[in-house]
Amino acid sequence: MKVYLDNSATSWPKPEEVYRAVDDFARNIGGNAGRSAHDDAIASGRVLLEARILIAQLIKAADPAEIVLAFNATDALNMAIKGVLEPGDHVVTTSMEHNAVLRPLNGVAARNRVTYTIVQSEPTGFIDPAKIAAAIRPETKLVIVNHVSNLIGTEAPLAQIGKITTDKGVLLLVDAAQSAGNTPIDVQAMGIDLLAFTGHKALLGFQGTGGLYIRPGVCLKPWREGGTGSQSELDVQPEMLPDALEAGTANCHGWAGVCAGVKHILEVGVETIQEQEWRLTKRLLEGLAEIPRVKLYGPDPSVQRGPIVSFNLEGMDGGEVGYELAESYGIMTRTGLHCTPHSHKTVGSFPEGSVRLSLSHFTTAEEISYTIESIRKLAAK
Amino acid sequence: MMVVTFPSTYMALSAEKVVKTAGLEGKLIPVPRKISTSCGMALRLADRQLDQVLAVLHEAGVETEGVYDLADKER
Repeated sequence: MKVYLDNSATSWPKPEEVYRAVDDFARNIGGNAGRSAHDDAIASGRVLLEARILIAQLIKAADPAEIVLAFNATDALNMAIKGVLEPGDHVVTTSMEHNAVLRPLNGVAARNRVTYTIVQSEPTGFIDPAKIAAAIRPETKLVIVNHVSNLIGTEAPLAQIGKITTDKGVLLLVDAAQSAGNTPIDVQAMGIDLLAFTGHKALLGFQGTGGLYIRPGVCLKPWREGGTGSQSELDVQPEMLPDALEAGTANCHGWAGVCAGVKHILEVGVETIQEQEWRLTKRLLEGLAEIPRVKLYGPDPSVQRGPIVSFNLEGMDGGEVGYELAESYGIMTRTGLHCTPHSHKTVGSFPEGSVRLSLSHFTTAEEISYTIESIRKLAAK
Repeated sequence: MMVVTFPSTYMALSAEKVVKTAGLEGKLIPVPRKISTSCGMALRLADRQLDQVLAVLHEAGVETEGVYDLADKER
């Protein structure tokens, strides 16, 4: 039996229509979007347009023009952080951020006289909006918040944080790498200015796709410059969005897959996906909580969160647990620090790290029962 | 032959979608180099539908750059 519980690294399997869309693009469309005006290039361009339309619908953006396509969430976060910050600016962020936020932030801090404050989250991963409000200074330009923790699934109270940043006139950048596709997002109602997402996790597409929602009026300097297929007589990057931020050939076949993935999500419904994933995540949490050697991280098993569970077996190295689960039981997990050292420090699993189990809406109740039983057996050894 | 030009590929592709959804004629073609434009694609329309096309594009918030009569230019 193979049980894939590493959906937070990349989701698997994909819906059947995602495989078909990528195959169809590769065989029958093939042109390069925005680079020519023959039928195949135009068909390729239509795929990118459809991706913007579908994603705008998913996150409730007013206009598909507000969606800039990138290569992954890291690319989009770099685009936002390096595009917005100027010397002298201050940033507020949390202790639950991924290195995709911390590293670019430290990069601009070192090179560009930018300072930042990390607001400490609770050991449950919960971030108190009042603490964010208290950390905002006159020179604060940007608040960066992880929507759903990639370590323990805890969801940030985005609407409350968005109200604070809107009231104080500060930009809010949301890292939605783990939430876009499985957790409701409404960029307008939540007061979000910038939202980075990836195509290969809960959007059910493949690696090499991601993007950034940009609220109209927010200006970003391009961090990647080059060919756009537009204003080619200019020696400098065009200023018009989305071209300004989309230099270089897009992952067109990848976007064909994301389109099919997002259509699938919109048909099933984000709320339905969230409910289904939570039912199984809760079952997993409750099952693991009964195993004597298991140490669970994050909120009480009754508290709803994204489909992510982290644990350790007392007296056993996490890497060894992950190896045994894969080798002896066919269960794919992720061990170590999950690119988020501060989250591990926050929940109390640093430097040893943890074993992470992450579900998708293709995960079944049988797989969860089998996983609980397998971990029980491993713990009894 | 009338063509509409656009500031970006995004706007050109959006225009095609809007025009087709409205049941009007519109085909994306390479922009002739004699027309100065930002984006390499233009929308070729049925001459008699020009006003209708411009109206639906405006309504949908699609930004255009210029309108050209290629037959005129060629004369």
